[in-house]
Amino acid sequence: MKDQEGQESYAPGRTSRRRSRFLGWNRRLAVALAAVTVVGTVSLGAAGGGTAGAVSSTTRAPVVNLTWWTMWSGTTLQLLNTMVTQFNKTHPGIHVTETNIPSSATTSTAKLLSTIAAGDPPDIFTEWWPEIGSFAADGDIVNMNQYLTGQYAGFEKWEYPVAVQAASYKGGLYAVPMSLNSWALYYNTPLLAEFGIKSPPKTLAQFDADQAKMWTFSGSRIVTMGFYPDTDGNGFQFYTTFFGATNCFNKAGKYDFESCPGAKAEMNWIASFDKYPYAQVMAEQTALGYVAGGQTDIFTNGKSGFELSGPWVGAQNIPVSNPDLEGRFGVEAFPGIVPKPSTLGQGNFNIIPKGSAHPAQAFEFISWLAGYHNESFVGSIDPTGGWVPAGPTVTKAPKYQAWLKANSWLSGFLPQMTSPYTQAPLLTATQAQLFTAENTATANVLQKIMTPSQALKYIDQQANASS
Amino acid sequence: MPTSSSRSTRRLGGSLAKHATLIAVSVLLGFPLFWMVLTSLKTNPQSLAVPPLWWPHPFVWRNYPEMLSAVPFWRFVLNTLMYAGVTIVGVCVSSSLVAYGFSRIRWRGRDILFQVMVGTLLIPFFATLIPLFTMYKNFHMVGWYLPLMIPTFLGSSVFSTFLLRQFFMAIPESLSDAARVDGANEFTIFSRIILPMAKPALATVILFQFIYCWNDFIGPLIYINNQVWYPLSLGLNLILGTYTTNWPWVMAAATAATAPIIVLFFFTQRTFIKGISIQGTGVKG
Amino acid sequence: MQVDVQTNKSPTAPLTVASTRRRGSLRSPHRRALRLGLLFVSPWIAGFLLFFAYPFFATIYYSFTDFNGVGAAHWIGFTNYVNLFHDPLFKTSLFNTFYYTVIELPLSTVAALGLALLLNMNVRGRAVYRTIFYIPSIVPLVASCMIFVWLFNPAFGIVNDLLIDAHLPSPDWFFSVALSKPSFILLGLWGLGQPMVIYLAGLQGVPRDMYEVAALDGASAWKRFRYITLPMISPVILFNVILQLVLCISYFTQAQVIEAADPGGPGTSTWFYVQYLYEQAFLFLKLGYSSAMAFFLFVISAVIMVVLFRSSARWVYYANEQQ
Repeated sequence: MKDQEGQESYAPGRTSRRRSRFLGWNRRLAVALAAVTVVGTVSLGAAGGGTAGAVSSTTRAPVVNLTWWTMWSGTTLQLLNTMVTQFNKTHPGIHVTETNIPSSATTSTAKLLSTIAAGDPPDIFTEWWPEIGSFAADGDIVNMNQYLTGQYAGFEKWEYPVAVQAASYKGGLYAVPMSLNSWALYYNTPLLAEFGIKSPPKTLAQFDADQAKMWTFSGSRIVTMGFYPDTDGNGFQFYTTFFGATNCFNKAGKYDFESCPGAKAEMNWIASFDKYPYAQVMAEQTALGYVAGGQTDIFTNGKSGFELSGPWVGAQNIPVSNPDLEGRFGVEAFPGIVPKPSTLGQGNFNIIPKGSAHPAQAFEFISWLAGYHNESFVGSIDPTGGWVPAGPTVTKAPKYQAWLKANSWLSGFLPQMTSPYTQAPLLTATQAQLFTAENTATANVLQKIMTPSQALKYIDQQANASS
Repeated sequence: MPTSSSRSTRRLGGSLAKHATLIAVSVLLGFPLFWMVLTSLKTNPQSLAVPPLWWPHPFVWRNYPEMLSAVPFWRFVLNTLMYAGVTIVGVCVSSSLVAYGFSRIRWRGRDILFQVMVGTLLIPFFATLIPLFTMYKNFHMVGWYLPLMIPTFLGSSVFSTFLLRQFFMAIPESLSDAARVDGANEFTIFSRIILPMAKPALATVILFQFIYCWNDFIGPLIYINNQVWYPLSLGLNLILGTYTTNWPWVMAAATAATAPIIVLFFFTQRTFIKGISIQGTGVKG
Repeated sequence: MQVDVQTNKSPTAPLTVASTRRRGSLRSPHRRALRLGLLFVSPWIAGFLLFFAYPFFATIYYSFTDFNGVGAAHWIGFTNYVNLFHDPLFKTSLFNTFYYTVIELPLSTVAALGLALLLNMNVRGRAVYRTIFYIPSIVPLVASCMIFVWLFNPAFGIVNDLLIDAHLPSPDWFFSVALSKPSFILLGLWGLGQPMVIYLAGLQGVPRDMYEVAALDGASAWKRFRYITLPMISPVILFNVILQLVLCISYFTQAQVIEAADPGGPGTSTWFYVQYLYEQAFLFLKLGYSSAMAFFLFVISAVIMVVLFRSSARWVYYANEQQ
């Protein structure tokens, strides 16, 4: 077991002769250790530094190297690679390298912000739109007005109005769409017929009545459903244009959804769905891929009569996840209380972080990506992604037109882009807070945790918090 | 007086009970993984079937080669191995030294400093990210694995240091004392006596460091900018589609990422679970 | 000659070292020991000064400013801290994390130790069992979260299927306000491979003959566990408890992955502290506020940790008699 004697071994006097030897040894070894560490570290650094920037660049003369970070992956990434290759080919003075930034657990913003703070950001970043207001207000991204000269003087006019609206902060343009989204009502034709609904609803009252017919259960499990306002990022905000509740400010310029009649009507409408089992619906959505960021969902699976979504559902989700549904669904404008059609103006935007080494070339790239003076190429790419482009002339491109003709269900999406009722939320410094609060409020109302008026008050409170 | 036959019956019964318990717990713990592997062999619609489908019809083995060729899987594995290899060296060298200092020598302020070291774990990563990143940028270390590797040579793995310190503390002081009496210096005691006795603890540290690197996501995400250098954890993310989720591929990727570690663990677990065998006065491990 | 650990080295008796020669304060053997100790520990000290000190103190500084990540940070004194105490979501997230910690910590300690005891048994094929028990903790986190959520999915999952078949209530697990935190706790219990292996290593280090002697003396299995096993593995118990504490208070990734669709879970029942911190820092760009949150958390957990270490003098037994 253990030595029971426990001798004290540091008896002074005995060690005086040995001490110098000990210290000599220890010192030598300590130095050796430090040397090894330093040498190891330096050589690692050299190796790492040497290869850190190593991107294959087989170009000769002064070429501007741009780095582009996106969170796209899978098939979309392949699309982007095609675009980047084309750009590099047609722009010999610029070389773009695209890197996918995995955004599991939405940590890509942390990475971007770190690089901006450290002064070494990528040149272009594809951002999720609610951040644009906060970034612009904090000076994290570049104001592109300075580049809207020469051949770009007509850029803003070239874009859809809502694309400019959604990216402007205090008169400056801060982002250019990679793709815009247009939101309309999908309906499952045979499923509707099963419940005796011969044609899609044209009024909100009719819609409510129709969807209510379509809920059937087996025990506690949902077998079929009519409609449920998505809370996965598609909550309150996405229906505001149908109710005239997109930009509700009071005279002092503060958010005021509480007093806004459209907002009240909308929140009450959302609350009318609180009789359906929130947990079960969320469970279905989650199992079908929302957790992984995918959008295979209840409608794509053929279990839901209606869904509010964009062209990618018909262009990508259904063909890939449920080909049986092809040709058996339709799209129409959402029957809101405000004249139709309309859509919320939002999408995926490219921004130029502050500190980018070559912002002018970065702007050249992102405007090219948007389709400016590049309509036929982008017009051939967008159909694959099911994207609405940033400007109307792209939709006139032959491939895009062909796509529209081949898919009659697409006819609902484009006219909305130019509708006067289509709006984008005004960019403010607290846009991220607003968006988050709207989603929380929607979820809480659906779970009966908040009443509609409490929810609106909550939104105001969060969005008006000082930034 | 129990007869030999009833004693062996009892032994058999006891053994059966042990196995039964082990099997029951194995089922509970192993079932989700079983599901993962099965799902990786289904087609996408089958993986979403309700009621849940148990066995794939048929077994879609080609999910694996397809998934593995969709991304440069082996490159990612190599990157991860490099990351793990370097940090293992760093951790073994520095953490054992530091752990020795915190356990086998008694000096003033030792325990307070030790608690400070453990205390560094208490500040959340995201809180210090911006100043940390800016600092690394000023050291010109960002872009590759340097911020993840270099600190391991300077005792950054508090986990390893703490673990080794606990094991070192369990070794009787008398061994060190005897060696000191014989005239050995501290470093010799460290390298010739303590370290060999702590081989199982070291092996544990190596295993855990390897697994940490294998699955480390946040660190590489923040510091590495070049896709070519992504470790497996980041690379697998490329498989997750943006608009569609291919569940079987996701599960296949997870299985492919886990399988090597399972194999590694199975063949090495005896080494470090064996524990410390304390030599000296007839104590057996 | 055997020494009975129970009588001579009871873990509750304060450990003292007989010393007849140490008088006065810092005599040369102590200075020597100090030098040596610092030498060995110097790599860590260097790393601490180089890589930890600046970010740590910078964060504390930012907590007194209105820092937004980029640009100047203006001093605002204690404003952030005052706002913290009026912030309902701060209190909720603190409560959620506290709830999780208080329940998960003891449960996981007992469970991991129990699993290790099971795996310590002398049965054939233990390598297989050990591997199976360990695998859940090495599956990539995102995948294991998805699998778990899937299995417990109220609409799709096997677990509810089985419960319904057995005519038992089938709750909404991650999607119910009441059971969401317990669902996360279950997820945590499933992935206990790491502490389990460490306990196993510790168990294997307990000398067999101690048990034999005790058995000969007529000690029951429980007495042997209580008076031999526990004290002998107390160093790794301390280790695992401290590490679990760290994991619990910084709980983030699993919740973030599972609730991507509905951050905070049903109601705000699974809004954890670090999630809220992350949201403030990187979604709302309020880095001063998030730094205040971080420092607050640090102070609380440092206090808990110091208490744990202090108490460890009473229940942790190191075979070399040092503390």
